[in-house]
Amino acid sequence: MTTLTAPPPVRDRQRRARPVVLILPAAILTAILMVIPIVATIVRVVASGGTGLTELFSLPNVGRVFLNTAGWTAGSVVGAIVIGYAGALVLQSARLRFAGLWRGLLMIPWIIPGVVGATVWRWTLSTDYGILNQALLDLGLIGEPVRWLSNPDVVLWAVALIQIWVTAPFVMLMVSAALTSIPAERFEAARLDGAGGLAILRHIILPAIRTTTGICVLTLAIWALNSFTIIWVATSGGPAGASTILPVLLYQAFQNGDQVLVSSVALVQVIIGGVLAVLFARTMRTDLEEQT
Amino acid sequence: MRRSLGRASAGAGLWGTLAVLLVWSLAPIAVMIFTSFKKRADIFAVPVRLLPESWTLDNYRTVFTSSSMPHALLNSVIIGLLVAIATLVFCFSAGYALARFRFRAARPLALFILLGQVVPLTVLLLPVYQIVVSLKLSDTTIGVAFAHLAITVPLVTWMVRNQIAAIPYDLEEAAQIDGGSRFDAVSYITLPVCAPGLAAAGMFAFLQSWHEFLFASVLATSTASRTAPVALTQFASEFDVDWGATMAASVVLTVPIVILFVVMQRYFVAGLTGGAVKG
Amino acid sequence: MAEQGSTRPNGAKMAMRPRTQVFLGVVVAAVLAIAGTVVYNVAGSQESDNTVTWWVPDWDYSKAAGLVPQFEQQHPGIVVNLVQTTGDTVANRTAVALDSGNVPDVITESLARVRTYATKGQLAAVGDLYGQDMPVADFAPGLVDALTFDGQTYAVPYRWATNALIYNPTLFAAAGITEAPRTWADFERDAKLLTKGDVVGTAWPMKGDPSDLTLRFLDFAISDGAKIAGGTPQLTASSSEAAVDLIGGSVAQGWASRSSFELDNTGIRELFLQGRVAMYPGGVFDVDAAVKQGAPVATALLPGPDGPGTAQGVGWGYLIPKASAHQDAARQLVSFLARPENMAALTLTFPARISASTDPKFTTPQRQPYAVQLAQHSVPAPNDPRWTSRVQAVHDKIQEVALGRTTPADAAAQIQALAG
Repeated sequence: MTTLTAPPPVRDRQRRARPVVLILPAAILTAILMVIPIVATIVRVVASGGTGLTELFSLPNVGRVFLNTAGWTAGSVVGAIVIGYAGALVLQSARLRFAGLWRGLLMIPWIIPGVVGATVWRWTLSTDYGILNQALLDLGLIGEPVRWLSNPDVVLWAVALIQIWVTAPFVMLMVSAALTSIPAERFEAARLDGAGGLAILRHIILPAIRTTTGICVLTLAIWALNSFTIIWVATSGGPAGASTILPVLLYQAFQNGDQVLVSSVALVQVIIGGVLAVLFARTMRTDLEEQT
Repeated sequence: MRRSLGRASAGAGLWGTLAVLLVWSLAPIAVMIFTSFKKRADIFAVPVRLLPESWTLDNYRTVFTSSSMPHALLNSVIIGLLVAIATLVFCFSAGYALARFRFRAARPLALFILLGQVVPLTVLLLPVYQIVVSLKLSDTTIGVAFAHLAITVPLVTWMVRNQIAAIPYDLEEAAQIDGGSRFDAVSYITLPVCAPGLAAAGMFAFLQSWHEFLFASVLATSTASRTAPVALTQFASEFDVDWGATMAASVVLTVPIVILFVVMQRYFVAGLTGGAVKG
Repeated sequence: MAEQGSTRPNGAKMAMRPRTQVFLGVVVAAVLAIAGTVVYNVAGSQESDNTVTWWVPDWDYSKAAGLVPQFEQQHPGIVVNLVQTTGDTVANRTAVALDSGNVPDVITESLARVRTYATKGQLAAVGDLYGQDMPVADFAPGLVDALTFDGQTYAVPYRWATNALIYNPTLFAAAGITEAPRTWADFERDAKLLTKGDVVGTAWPMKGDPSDLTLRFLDFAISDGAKIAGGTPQLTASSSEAAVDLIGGSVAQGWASRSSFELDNTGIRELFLQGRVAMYPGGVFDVDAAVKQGAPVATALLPGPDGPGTAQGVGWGYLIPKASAHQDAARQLVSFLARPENMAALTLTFPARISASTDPKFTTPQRQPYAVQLAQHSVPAPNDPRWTSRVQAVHDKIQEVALGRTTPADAAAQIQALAG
């Protein structure tokens, strides 16, 4: 390796310099594409005297919408993480052949157009002519068709399932890659020490991919908070608003041309997303500082 | 004896999990593919059948001869590549700066950029539209690509920043000692190490652009820059949707990307490494 | 891999440059390409003074393309630039275009949204186009009024249609029913008779666009005493209750498909074509589809509480944005398109002008009840944006009755509070 012959002062000087030019494009893009619209939104909400917010919070189903959004986000994030991890761990195994092919196939849900995926699931989950009910009936697992998309108690989880199906490949990809960078020696050392699969998981794998997990959770949560196509195609937010979440509310206001309500819902979404982003940045701060 | 039994059951568990995951991922895809070969009356037949009663290529014929889908596929690929490249260029410079330089504004700036990811697109629609139009880029692939940067730059900046932070600065320093400029150090040392990770981030940006509908529908007024998701809706007439053609179009859209992905995935796996793991 | 840089002698310094140069070269090329596109766009956008840009949805595009040459022949000097929009995106694109000022010259848009644009001052008044060649009396009753605000008319309709009752005569005959239901009592009795085995009496579109369901709700409410004044519905508690009971109650009781929650208009049509739904209020397109497929179909007037019911008309028309730079040419195009024969060519459902509906494709026996419904028992659908913003809530209330969670009386009271 090299020996450090450069005098420390030069290095520190460079590190403290302001790399304005490098950051400028990204910062300008963010300013134009994000800050100005956010500020405009806030201005619109404030200028209307908060009528948009009162309108939003006095909608008959607003409590339900927030509850649904929370459940949907939590459910789809957890589900995608579990399935993504499972996929990555399975593909990682040295015993597996054609891992590349399996990985490619498992990516397909992320690649097909969103509307198509949602529609196919809608057909599959259909009470009367969906193959899922057909298969479950044939296997004798259920006595009569389950109303996946028309039973208000089940519908939110049914559509969360679709979201999980679409987003798990992303997690699988990120985790797969992270796993390959764990040096093989650690596994061998652990095995020599007699550790079983579960212990390896807990003590070697999970700590090593902490940052990846963080990025995945944040991305999944943002996708969940902005996801509208799946629910719209599958249930249009029904029945009776049982699967309506914030983004669906936003779209409905948008279609009605109700600018004030649109701004208010958007502001609420930005605040929620912002909180998540800040939490993420804080959690990752320690990791990054250890790295640099 | 006990050990090999343990091994065997572990093996079975492995294949079992893989099988479950494959069925879970691909069953709906099978529905999509078989539907693309079905005649209209077959698609909604009750009781539902997975396989077509009589196979037909009509849907594919429709897609290739009387739709704007092939052109739209091309547009989407071009836009996706433009977005991926532009994202990587901007985010690499910003991510590098944020990772390497220690200045007071670094952390707030990084957070500021990340917050860009949480804004709903409906709010961005009119401002972005006006910007693109005033740049005289409406109805062009470049205009749509510019709009898509809004959903790729924030997260990718962070991915790259983590990536680079995991690479010890000593490596670049050593290159500089040998007489190269900092720029050279980066392009000859850091870039190759990051390249797989950048490829992964690029793929993420590509797919974000690939799926995006709202901006693309408003910014593309003619087939010159219409993208695939928007073109898919052309099979929905006012009262009716030609699902066979839609599924066929969807297959046509997906196959090239899957092939591309399978080819690229060796880079991926090696690739998302640097930013995610310590040492 | 890092080593290679550090162990080479200084001569390697020169070898490092090329990559940097390549990188810079790519950046320069990109900037040039973007600048080039911009310049090309600016240069190319010098239109002639008489180019009319017309936004047409997908489904009308090929017919429009056939009409354009005729127009250009009759009006030498005007060139029509046809731009194809996709049906789903018309609302968004029109709104964004009008809001931003970057407008085409003629837009084919749904008449339900005209009022929103007109009240924002974004549309040009086209009242002067109505006259000798295009008399107001030739349009469906109340139609032009619905498009007139503050004394000015802002759109020229070309398609206008209502729902009517579609039913399967074979299933009816098998159940011993000799004629289509004329009153709500008949409707309910017949539907219960027809619901057995795989077949349900009727079904409602509870998925998809919420306005599909509320349209049917409002049709029933209007038949029972509610009114539409100035584009705003004026509901009464009793008519709302009767309407909600008919729709929600039928699902709760089972003589309307319980899977209505998963059905949109297309789904109901498909089930009807397969003989699993016996009758339902539907549009003319469904009738044409059944005829084309050879499925048994017959039509009748919508049933009302004690006689024919009232149906709302919905349709599409032409708008001219106020900010358009080619007003004269645009008006000439719209006048041309509004001629009866051209209107008939572009219309799948029913033309807005009565004189245009003499075209044979509109006078088939199955379409007869639709023509009567339109001429004698129809009102234009409401276009008040405040009603539009309440549609989702009303829709959800109806579904709650269908789920058995609320009684029709309670639901009607809540709807009254929301939209009364």
